[in-house]
Amino acid sequence: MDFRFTDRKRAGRDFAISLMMVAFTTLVSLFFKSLDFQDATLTITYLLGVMGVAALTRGKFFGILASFLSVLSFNFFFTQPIFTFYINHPDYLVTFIVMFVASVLISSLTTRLTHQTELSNLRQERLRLLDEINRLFIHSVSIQDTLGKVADLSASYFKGEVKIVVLTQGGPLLFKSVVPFETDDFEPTIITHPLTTESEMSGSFSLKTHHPLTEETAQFTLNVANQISAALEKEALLRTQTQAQIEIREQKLRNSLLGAISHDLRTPLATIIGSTDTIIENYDQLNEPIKKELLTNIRDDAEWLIESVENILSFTRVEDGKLKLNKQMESVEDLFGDLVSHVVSTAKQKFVLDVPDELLMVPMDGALMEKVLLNLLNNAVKYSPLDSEITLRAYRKGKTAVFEVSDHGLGIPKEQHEKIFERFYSGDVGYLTKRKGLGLGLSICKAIVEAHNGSISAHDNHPQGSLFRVVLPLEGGLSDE
Amino acid sequence: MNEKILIVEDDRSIRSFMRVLLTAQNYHVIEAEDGNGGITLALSNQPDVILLDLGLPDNDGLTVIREIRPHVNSSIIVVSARGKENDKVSALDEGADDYLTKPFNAQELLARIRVALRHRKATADKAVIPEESFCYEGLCVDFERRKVLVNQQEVHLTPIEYQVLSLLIKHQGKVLTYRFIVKEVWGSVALESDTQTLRVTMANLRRKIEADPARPSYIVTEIGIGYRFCEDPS
Repeated sequence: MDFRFTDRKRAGRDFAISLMMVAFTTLVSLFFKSLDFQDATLTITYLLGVMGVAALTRGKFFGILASFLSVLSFNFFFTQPIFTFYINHPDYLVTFIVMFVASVLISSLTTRLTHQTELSNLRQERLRLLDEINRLFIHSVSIQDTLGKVADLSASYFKGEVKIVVLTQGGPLLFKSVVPFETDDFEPTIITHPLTTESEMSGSFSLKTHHPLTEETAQFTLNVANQISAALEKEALLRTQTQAQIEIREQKLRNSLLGAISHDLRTPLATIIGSTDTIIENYDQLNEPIKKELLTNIRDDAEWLIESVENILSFTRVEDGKLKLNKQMESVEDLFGDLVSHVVSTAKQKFVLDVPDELLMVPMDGALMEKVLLNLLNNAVKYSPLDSEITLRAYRKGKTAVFEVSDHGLGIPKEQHEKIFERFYSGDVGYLTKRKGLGLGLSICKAIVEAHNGSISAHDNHPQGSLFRVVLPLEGGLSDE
Repeated sequence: MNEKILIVEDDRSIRSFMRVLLTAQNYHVIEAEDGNGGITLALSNQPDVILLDLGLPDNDGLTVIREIRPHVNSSIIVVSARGKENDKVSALDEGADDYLTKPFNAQELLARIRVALRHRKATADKAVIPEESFCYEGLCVDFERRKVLVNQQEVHLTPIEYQVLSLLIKHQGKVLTYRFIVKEVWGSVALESDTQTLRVTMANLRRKIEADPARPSYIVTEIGIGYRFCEDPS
């Protein structure tokens, strides 16, 4: 360990310990001498003292110093002539040498033992930290939360300022944690390690500390950084996997959609082919009313087909996320006026329009919103008796514009008020339709309305029937053209 | 004299039914299968009406319009699919006179052609002498005195409102894009705020002349495109 001479305070302390220990063993030995114990006992007492110094001090130096001082003390206090450094018997020299060598060896062994124990404790501490970090990542709920905690743990372990930077899709995230060190006697050291995910840099881990840093500790910061990298990499892999699963599910949905489409489109096409074949084969035999009827059927089927095709197109655009809004400030009257000319003229029911007196301008994609309202109106027409009223209302409510389409028809059971907006949900055959729809219309409406940051919901109308409500925000940017 | 109609359409079945329909109405029909053929026939035959499909294989309709507009007097009606409002607006701004949305029915097609012919004839004959007055279903406008009457009641319009109304009447039956109206009435190139001002003007105008602004009988909105003054479905 390379602390020895840089840590002056420590050195001072260790020196004091050495002196005091030798003094203490001297006293004890004097006491033993007064009890007439043998010299051997005294020697061993000194050896114990040296062992104590070795255990309590850093490095080999003080152990050796204590050995030397012990020999001197033994010479001065216990060898003849006492209270001098002279020896009158050459045997004592051997004793001194043996004592010195023994104490140096003991000191060295003790030092090594202490060192090993310290090292072992340190390693355990470090393993614990790595384990804690790992566990945090395993039980991670949010990466933000986890990284914050990791920074806290690291800061309290290393005693300094820890900064973890992670590059995410939304920009770099910084997690900082500071544990103040007791003194800032030393210049701060900063260590930074990159965090890598799949061999690419994805962030960094840095430690700033006033605590003197050993090479080992520096190495350990690298271990921590690698631990974090590994955890982040695992998380990235998990995300990719989830993404892949989502894509598989989408693919399955698409396939089932294609299946549903082919099935549903085949029937009207079969009717068309059948009717036209009939007319071609039996042209002269059939009378006018029959021919007119078959031709009208063909037209109706074709109308159904074109509606379905439009719906499918919109549906795929919505699903692919390619719904691009062309928002303008449109007046509600303009929207209604256009609707009216498309639906009202052909439907048999009576229409009531309710618009506010003052002009209501709403930022929206006019063509798409018209599609939504048209869909709702068509549904109302389909599911209402021919002599009933259908109401189309618009009004301002706070910072929103509300559109309501209500009818007095069959109504929708409360349990289904949410389900009807799901894809492929189709209701029963209504009054006018000969055939069920594909069930895409309302899900498309929902997608369009939600792309406007609005909401769509179904409610019961009184005394019977349904009410569909679309709420659009009045604020919100327009798209650039 | 039989009016000449040029059909520029790549799909054989559509050309076929259009030809049958128009010939039955005593129009003289010529056909082109693609853009280049359409340009050639338009320039050489000077038809009265051109029906131009915007989904041609070799050419987008805009190029065709740009090539022929300066050289022919024909009314150009573009045909495009649903949801392609921007294409229609671009075509109209480029010089087309009206549009049809596929799939259309026979009546719609014939109605548009009638309107197109009427305007063409009108501009050809009365190039110099403007109309003195105009009446349609209870709405009467005296251009000379700048007076507007609805069911015999005088209605006071602002100068801008009057200009918008007159412009629409002048092109009765034809759709006018928001941009076109703004340019003609306000004289500037359409900015975001200008189209909004137009909508506000239209709302105010409707309140003054329509019995039910939500169910207009005079000025009809073609959302995403512009406005059209109604015509007799005769």
